[in-house]
Amino acid sequence: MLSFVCSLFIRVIAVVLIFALLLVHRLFLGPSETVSNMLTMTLLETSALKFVPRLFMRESEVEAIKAATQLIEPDEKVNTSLIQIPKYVKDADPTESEGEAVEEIKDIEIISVSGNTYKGHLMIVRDPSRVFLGVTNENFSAAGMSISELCEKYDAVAGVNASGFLDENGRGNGGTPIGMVISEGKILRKSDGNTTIAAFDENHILHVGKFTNEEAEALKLRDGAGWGPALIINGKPAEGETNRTGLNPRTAIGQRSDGAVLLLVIDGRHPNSLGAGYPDLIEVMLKYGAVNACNLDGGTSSIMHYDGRRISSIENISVAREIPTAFLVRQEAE
Amino acid sequence: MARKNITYERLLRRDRGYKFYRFFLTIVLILAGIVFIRHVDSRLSEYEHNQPVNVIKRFIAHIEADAQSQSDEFASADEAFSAVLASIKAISNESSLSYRKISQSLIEEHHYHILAENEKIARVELKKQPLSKGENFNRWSVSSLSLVVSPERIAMNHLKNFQNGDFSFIIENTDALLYPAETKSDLQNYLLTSVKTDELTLTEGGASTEGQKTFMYLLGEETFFEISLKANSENADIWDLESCVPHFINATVYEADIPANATLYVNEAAALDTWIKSTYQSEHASRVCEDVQNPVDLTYKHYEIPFAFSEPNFSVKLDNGESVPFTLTDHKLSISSPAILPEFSFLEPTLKEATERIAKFFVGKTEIGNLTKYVEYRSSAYLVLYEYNLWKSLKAGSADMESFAITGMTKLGDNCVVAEISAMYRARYSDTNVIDYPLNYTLYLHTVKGKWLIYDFISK
Repeated sequence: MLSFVCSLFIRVIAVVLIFALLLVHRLFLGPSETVSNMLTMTLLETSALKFVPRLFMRESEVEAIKAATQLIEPDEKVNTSLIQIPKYVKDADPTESEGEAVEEIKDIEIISVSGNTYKGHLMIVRDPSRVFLGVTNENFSAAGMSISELCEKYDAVAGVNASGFLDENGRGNGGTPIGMVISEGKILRKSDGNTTIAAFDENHILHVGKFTNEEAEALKLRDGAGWGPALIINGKPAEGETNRTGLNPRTAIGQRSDGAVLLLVIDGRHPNSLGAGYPDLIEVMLKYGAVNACNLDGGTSSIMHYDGRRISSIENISVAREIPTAFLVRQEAE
Repeated sequence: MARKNITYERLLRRDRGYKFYRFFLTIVLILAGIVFIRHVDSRLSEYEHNQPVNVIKRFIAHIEADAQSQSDEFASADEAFSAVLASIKAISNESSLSYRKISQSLIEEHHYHILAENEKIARVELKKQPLSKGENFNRWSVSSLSLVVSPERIAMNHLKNFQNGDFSFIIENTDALLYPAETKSDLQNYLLTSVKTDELTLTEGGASTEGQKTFMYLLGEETFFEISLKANSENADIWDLESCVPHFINATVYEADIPANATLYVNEAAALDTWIKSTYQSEHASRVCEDVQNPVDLTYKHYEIPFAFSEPNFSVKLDNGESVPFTLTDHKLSISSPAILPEFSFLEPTLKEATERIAKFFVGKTEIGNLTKYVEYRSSAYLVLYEYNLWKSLKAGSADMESFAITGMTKLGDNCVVAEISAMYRARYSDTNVIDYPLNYTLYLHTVKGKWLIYDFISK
């Protein structure tokens, strides 16, 4: 009897595994090109599961999907005249206005956002001068820090992850960022020419694009990091032939025409939030008035921290990922 | 022994039973797996079928198909929709159609351009429909369909009309340059009789930029007509006419300077506001009359009126209907001031005496100090005269005012008036050396302690 049960169990498992493989095969190579593209890109955007699509498809097919779903970033520089930071943002008390009752303007506002496949949070920081880039250390020699540690280091009230980083097979220590890193006006990591970054200049205007070191210095960029692609430049969204990219946790940064900074984190890899694609980020940013916006590192790195607690829901529920850089928000000036 | 055999047989039967159950369950699992995989395939097919990119592909196939094989999916009772669809079919003709997604598309709506050989011919908007009962995935349907006419096609359509002798577009869009009905019919006759329509060609002008295109219609090598099209700021698929220039019109530009309180009539119709190129104030008069109560604020409108076929008939009238005299010289119309304003006619003898005294000063027959009877001391006029290069000094001989006339007067205020003087002063240096000195100048006069004096002197 026991041997019967064991052999039966083995058969069941074998059959289930075979059909599970068949299922995955149908998802990759079945009748739905959209599902295939979405699944391929979702896995390619992870650190640990990049190899899976190549088990079912040829390298040329994988590359064709990557090319077809690639966003075409707007080919223009940020027009700084589109950003007008109102005077009241810099005043001590924006609610004072010649005796008229003025609705209190929150300096930091957190809004829940959602779509068909995702849930997330958008943080609106009214004063862009409070947003800066926090780094683990200036030469990135050590492992990364968690977002809460970075907030504590800089005494920041809020933050989201920023740069992508070297992360072979998903086991990186979050110490080495990819692409240019600028902090407090110093270029800590030089441009590689390929990575799109989001950086604030001395007038607290967010610039999005690929910059050389000389261009960064000419623009007087004070704080910046990135991963890309650029989502919106001068109100113009990035283009793409297909609507769906991979569904993953995402982080993005943007700026409205009044200078307010938008920090967006999308949860993912949960049953109630699979994740978002680039078009979803563009839609949220445009909905909340972004003139310029850039994608930041996503996946398990995506995290939002505010007032001492984690806002976003990350897949690694035990501990936040270690990251090399984060966009942080200073405490309000006394 | 029998007992052992019975047990062994039971074991055998049991083993056979187990094998059968294992086999049976395996078959059931495999069948279930196959059914599941087929179900997944079916769902994937349905999902893919409902994707907007496949909807647009089917829509294009629907356009390209003949009437019998068109799908019901895009059949519509909406006449406007059907008309646009028919137009797209007609335009596309034998061209191969393709589609391109418009980048501004949102998640709930997808917008596409349909292209025929890379030229945009239509805009299609797909909208996600809410899930109906029994449906697993949202459907997408065509919510809007509109023709897109490229600027090149707009220009080509005009060329075809011109080649067919239809110049209504030119006449409608140049009537702001020409004026009124008589001239329109002149223009129509001119175009119909003098333009060799089979020689008309079209070329794109070099001034084209993104969002703005210029097209030139050529007659042989000469430019006949030019249009400039601009993409609509709200809908880039719509191109509006920005401007047009009829190069065949050798426009004679008439200029007119009319006071703001008067109306210029051209061929008995009020002049168009579009012909007003600038307005200005008579600064000199304003400056002079600073100390005068209620100075007249002289604002002038400067008109430029292009005409091609015949000299226009001008008239100028005040608001009360009173006609204002004017002069037209070298295509320039200017308001004539009355020679002498009745309320200032008392100044005529004074002005004549002043002119003679000034002329005497110019020939050295009197000192500048003797002008102060007529010229306000240390005024602009006095300073101008002081610096004036004198005529040849008339040491001996005589001089007379041969002629004197006040050619115009303009009232600037109750105590401020402008007088235009034209006179001739003849100086006889000897019997054979007689020189006529023309005196043409503008005098500004105002009262100083009740006495009228010249404040400013401007030689023409």
